[in-house]
Amino acid sequence: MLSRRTRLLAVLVLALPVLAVGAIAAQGAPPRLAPVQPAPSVDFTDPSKGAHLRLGLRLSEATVALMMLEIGPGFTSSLRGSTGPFTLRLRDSAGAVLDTLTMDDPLAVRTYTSKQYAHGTLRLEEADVIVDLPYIDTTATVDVVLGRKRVGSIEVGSLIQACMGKRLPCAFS
Amino acid sequence: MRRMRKRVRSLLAVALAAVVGAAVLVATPAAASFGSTVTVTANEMHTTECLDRIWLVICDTPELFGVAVITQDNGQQFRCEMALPAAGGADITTPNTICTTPQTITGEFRVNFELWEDDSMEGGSREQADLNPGTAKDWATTSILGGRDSTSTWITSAGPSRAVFSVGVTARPTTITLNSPPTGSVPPDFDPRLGETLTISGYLSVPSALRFVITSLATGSSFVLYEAPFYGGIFNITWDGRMPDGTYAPVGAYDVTVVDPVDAGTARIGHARVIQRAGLSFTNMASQPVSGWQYRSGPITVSAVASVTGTFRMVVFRAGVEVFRTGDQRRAAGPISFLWNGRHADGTWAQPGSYVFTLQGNADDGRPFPATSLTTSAVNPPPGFEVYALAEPGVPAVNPQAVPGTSIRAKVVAGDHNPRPAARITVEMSPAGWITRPVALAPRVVKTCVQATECQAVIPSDILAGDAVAYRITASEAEGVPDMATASADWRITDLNPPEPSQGPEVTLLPLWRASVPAAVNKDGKLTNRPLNQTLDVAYAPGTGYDTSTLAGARQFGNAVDDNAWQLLGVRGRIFPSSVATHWSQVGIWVQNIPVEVKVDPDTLCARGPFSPVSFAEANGILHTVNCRDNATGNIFTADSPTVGWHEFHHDAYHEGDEYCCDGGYSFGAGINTYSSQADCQRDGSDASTCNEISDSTGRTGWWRSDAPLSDVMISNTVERADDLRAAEAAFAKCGRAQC
Repeated sequence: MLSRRTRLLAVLVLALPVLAVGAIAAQGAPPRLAPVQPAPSVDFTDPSKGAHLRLGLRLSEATVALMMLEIGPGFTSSLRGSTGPFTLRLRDSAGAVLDTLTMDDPLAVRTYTSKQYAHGTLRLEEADVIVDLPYIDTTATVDVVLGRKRVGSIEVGSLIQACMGKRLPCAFS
Repeated sequence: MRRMRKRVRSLLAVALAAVVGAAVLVATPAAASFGSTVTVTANEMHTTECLDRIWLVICDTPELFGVAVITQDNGQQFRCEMALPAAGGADITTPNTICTTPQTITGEFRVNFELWEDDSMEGGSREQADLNPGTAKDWATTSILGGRDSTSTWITSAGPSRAVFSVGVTARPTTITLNSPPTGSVPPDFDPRLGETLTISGYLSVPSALRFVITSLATGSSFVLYEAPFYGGIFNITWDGRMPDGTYAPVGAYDVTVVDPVDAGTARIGHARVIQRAGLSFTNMASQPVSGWQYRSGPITVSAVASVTGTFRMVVFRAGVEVFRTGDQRRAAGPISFLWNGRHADGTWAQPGSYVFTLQGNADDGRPFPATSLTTSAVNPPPGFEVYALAEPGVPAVNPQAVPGTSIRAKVVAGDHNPRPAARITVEMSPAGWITRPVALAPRVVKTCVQATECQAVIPSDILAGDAVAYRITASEAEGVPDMATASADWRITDLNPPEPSQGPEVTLLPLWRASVPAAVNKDGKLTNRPLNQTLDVAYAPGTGYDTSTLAGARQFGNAVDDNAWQLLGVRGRIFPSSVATHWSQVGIWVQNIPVEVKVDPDTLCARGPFSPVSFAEANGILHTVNCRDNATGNIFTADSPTVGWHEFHHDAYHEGDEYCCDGGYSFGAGINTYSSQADCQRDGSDASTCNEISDSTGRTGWWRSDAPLSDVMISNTVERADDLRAAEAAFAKCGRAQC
């Protein structure tokens, strides 16, 4: 249980850079709709082949803000967890779910103090997360779900359209 | 209760800025040794910093306390923390002892003084005051001489906060105990002409420098045999019976004096005699290995010194029955040795048990040598036979290129991952290309080691000059033993040098090196890494403390990657079994050479600066040396030790939850290694009979675990239990289906 003082301080330091960046890796599932343009080819022996959609999110219990959005070279892993409270759902323009990623709660920071050989967990008010999503060129939005609550939706379709045929990495300037 | 700061300290701030650090050393003639007891006292502590801020604007009165970190010249550290002062005191002006129990220190040392504020009793956290003009907040003394009585007073300088503290040193003189040669009883004889030596051994009550002096009782002349510091408290050297000019010492009696060079009162004198044996004898009989001979790893060697030239043989007995005998061999006076490969005279192989090795012989004039025997044991090796290898340093390309001497180190282990010797270890290497430019496999044997647990092979210069090296290790037991076991690792690749800019577009990408990845031959017959969707990939990045822009820093980082990879492999016994070792051909170790800042945040957490994880890696580890609380979110973690990385790897790659009480976050491993009810645990856990709630004396969580022991990778960073191994198998099964 966090103390009153710790909670107080945590609120006050919202502007500070927060620890967490989290990458989740996922390989793209086949799009349900015909792609507008083929995704970059994937050679699984070459880490520079393929593409990923990198989201930088500032997350709290109730809100999410987009801090970074770019398409970069390199495919993502598809070895994913299936449990955990943090979920990202890729949807196309019709609302169909193209892919779902599940990961640990970014607000729960696991700690380890080597000198005391002790684990612990901190609950953050806010955390910065970097997530690599599979590049699916029909993706329109990414739903951000924490626990059972949908805390926001990120529009990514326009970037994907704008980056068609462009050199990677590609982002809105 | 909160108290408002009432005093204005502007005058003090001005004064502090002008302060210059000073030390007054009061040394007294002292005894010797490197041993001291050290006390640290905080005389004054002042601060103008707002260390206890409330609502951004209010500075509460801080509760100051001092911390002293004593660092010996061998790097060992001791930390002392002052008890909190009485409430209300902002500045400390009366002496407070920091090391309430004086620390025993060896050698020279320095003291880092830290000034802290602690309002944890009010629910807040600790914050460190700044005693320095630079980035560091603590203030360090210069090196202080140990083993001498002294008191020094230090005044910190130029920081917004200030402290005055004293370091008291009390010498601890050493007492020498001389075991050999004896000081009183019959002096031992030895014959240097036959290779016999005199052992000079004993121990020290406190580590000290020692001088060893040999004095001839016949002439009274003496010389210093050896002089050096003995930090371990034990000394053990030999005299080969030769004078400083290399000639044999004349036959006669000698005194051996062992003394602390600066404390004559510590001297101890032993006695010995140099002789020249006229009779026939075997001396200095020994075996290699000394005991626990695993006959499957190769022959045992028995050696001795023969006093005169003659014809010799070795006879081996087990339970009084002769089982083996060498042929007669004529040898000159001096060292002789015999081998036995473990095969009995009747062709059967050695069994575990005690064996007596007897040397026999006759001088050239026909007189028989007195038979001399040595008893040692033969044992079966522990079950299992595995071999692993990594480059050393772990990431040569980060150096920024492989330097001569870069090598491949192979280790042979038993099934429990403790070292076990192999009769032969073979290291093969081949040039390998950059990721996008594979080359054909051209293997050649670079080194063979015999009867060894490790084999280190330097990479040949032609391969070293290329992009990457591929290597394969094979270990085998002695030829001819029943069911001879052989272990062969798969080919793996390590990058050696960055590609030339003209050679392709890859240089525009991240500086991403293969530290150790499994190799495969593609459809064109070229050697390349296995497809990354078939391997679990761990990527390390250099955090603060590893400056890879320098050769030394890059090498340290390479060694840290090595340590972490060996930890994942479980080649340390205590974390056996290791799912990574079992699936080593499906695991890739990478390095992303982009520095990541790691600093200490107000909660003493390791806070990391901007960091872009490797997109395909299942785990991204930032290795560092900062003294802070390591932490992890998502598939990124910080680690100042390999054991932390071992634990976090299980979160990232196997999606396991923590099994320690009581901070929450168990849902991540739901159904994998944590269960939301006892019924779920009994239904889904590996062993229903051992389901136990994650709890401790402070509370219960409502979450359950199936693995029974508390020594568990998800609790104590140690052993993988049934659920952990099951999670690993599930992950590697996905990799086997190209779903990694």
